[in-house]
Amino acid sequence: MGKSAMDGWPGELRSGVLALAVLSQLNEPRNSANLIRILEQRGLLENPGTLAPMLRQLEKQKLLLGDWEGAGDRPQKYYTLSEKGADAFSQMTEEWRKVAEELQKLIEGDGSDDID
Amino acid sequence: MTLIDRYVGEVVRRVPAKERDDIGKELRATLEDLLPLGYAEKEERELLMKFGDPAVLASKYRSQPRYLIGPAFFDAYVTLLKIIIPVVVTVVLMVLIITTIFSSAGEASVASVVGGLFADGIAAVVDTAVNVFFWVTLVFFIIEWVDRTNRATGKTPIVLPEKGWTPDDMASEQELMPKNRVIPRSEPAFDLIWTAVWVSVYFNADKLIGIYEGSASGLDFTTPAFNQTVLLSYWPLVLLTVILQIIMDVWKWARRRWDFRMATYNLALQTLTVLVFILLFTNAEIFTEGFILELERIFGSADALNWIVGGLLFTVALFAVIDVIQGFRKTFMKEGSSLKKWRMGKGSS
Repeated sequence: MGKSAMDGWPGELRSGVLALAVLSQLNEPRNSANLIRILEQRGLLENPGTLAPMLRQLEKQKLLLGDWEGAGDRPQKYYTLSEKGADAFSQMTEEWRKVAEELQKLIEGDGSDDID
Repeated sequence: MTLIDRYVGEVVRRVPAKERDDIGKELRATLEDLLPLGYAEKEERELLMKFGDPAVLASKYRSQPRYLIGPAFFDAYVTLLKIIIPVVVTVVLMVLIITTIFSSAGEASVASVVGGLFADGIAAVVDTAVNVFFWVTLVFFIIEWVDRTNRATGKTPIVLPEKGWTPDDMASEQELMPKNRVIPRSEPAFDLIWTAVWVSVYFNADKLIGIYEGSASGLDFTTPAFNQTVLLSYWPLVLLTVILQIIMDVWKWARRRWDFRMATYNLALQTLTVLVFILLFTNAEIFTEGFILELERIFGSADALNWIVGGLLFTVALFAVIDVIQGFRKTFMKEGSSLKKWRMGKGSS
């Protein structure tokens, strides 16, 4: 893709679904560095700097539980889904499925595009 | 001090004080964990490059937006300012003019009153506009702040009493018409101020209009031109004209475009105004004897008075005729060809 009006789009798209990506990984406790590695490996994280503020936001909204582990020089904060977070995750997943499915139909064209 | 220390420091000094410790600790833990044990400065640098400008990172932590009035209320705020400021400024100017003329009549020369009024007027306009701006902004800032607090604590957000957008809210065809069919709000505003001047002068004519003579202390008012008792005997007629004029201005302000009814009303109003002037000035008794004698002394005869009165009446009548014609011209411009042309142009594009 050359220099075009859509240049920022890949980043915007990924940041829009970042919360869903994060919640999906927190059935087991993970720290933020851990999450950054997972998401970067899959090309879902444009800027690792966006993750820490998002985790903090999700924790404030009580979707995540944060726990400091390991004292001394390098303590780490581990996050897991709260009950509320699990609910939110299933709702968001449902929403994502609908959007993805319909978009896929639109892009491929399933024969219903001449309803008009 | 390592690069990470400095980076974390740069971030936390830009976030709210009560969250500083937590954010710093979390960020440091993340950064350190992303680096291999016994890392080199080069790796540290690369990592920080990926995290980017600490100011940008800090802004992502801020849940409180950095604006005074948010998008939920901004439109209402601007609309309200646009309505309130012109109204208040007009009213203040009218009050200023009336009170100045009443309080200084007979005590100062016309020139100094007008000069003072001009300076006071500018000051009053600026002062009023700034004050209204400040108070309206403050009220909206409080609304915004209460709303933010409500949202943060999970209470229902403030919803402005508007019904939501429907296609009926679109500007009417007439409002979308070319600008020259529209009466600008400044026109009735100026009319009202002008009316205030005339009324003030009318009630103080014996102290304002007449012969001024130069003296050591400047200009002295020596001979009033008008016999105030006779002049004031016409007050019901003058009052009626003024009320009809105010109605006209309010109508113009609200409707903002000429139509046949308004143009007809304007014809009646202007005719009445001219008649009142003629009635007043053809009564020889409204001028004081002293004034006529003075004129004879200065100009050699009282004919000068006839010229002045004639000129005044002619000017008043001329302006009235122009105004009436303008009203009808704009009415028919609107309902006639230009609207059709405008519609057709829209259809063909």
